[in-house]
Amino acid sequence: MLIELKKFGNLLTSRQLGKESLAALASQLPKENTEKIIVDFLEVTTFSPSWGDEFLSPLQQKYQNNLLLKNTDNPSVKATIEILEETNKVKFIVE
Amino acid sequence: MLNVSIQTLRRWDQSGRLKSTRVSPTGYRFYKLADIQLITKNIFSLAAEWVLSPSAIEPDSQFFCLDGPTFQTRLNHLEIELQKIPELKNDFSFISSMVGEIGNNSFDHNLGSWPDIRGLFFAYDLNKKQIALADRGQGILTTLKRVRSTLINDSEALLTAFTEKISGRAPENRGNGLKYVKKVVVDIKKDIILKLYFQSGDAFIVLDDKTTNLTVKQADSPLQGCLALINF
Repeated sequence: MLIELKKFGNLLTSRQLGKESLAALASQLPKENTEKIIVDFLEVTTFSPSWGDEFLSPLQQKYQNNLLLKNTDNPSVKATIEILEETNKVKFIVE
Repeated sequence: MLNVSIQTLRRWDQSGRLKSTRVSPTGYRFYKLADIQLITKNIFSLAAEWVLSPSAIEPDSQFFCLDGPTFQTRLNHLEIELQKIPELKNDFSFISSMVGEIGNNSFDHNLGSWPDIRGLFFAYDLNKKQIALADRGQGILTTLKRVRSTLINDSEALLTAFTEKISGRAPENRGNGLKYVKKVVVDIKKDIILKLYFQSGDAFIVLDDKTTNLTVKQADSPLQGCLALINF
């Protein structure tokens, strides 16, 4: 499954919006954690830990090594992934 | 009031530094009070005056976000403006993400518990490369004490917020916002130099790329809530 974050916005910073975005997607997410989930950051211009924690952390917890991140070149995307990895003691797989 | 010539006013109008709201047929220019305040005072003074004021009055609407969605809209606008600045080409997202974290914290941690005025002072001056944020919320100590009851003062609370993974929104095990801000200002190599002043209660911290040990200092004027200034 491909999740294009640009469909949620280009500036993704609010905890509340991160939570709402994941809730909006919930019914489409695979029930089994064996399917690959690709989160595409293409055209995301600003990203921060509040939004990321609400959206990425639950996905990482469920799909673990089947969660892949792509187009993570934006500096705030990189920095946010690092801080989520440090604080949640996880390692995201980046394509 | 401004002590500048009519030629300067015309130049500022054209450059956008101080835009008149209208020009009368006889040539008189009219300005918003808030725009004149921006020229005569800096935005940090305006934020500090508001947050330190004993009386709770809503600031000028130009600088005020009553709720999260208003803040999000204005942050979007700031991000667009930052992207137009050539020297921020690679780094604008660090600034907009920091502002997002600090501003959203004000709403997330004071939801339903604002002591007097609900909302966020949020102003920026791109000529002076400054962004100011302030809230009259409960402050870091009160919100962190809910999950770290051993905290005894603002200094300890501020240091904890910038260095430890902790959240004031118990029982959620989250709260990386100010740690992220510290990482962006201090630890990450960038083309630009960022500086942050952050005060909560009677404690403040100053961070920049030369910071090695985080030192919390005692502020002369204690405040209710939080006050932040970002220089870039």
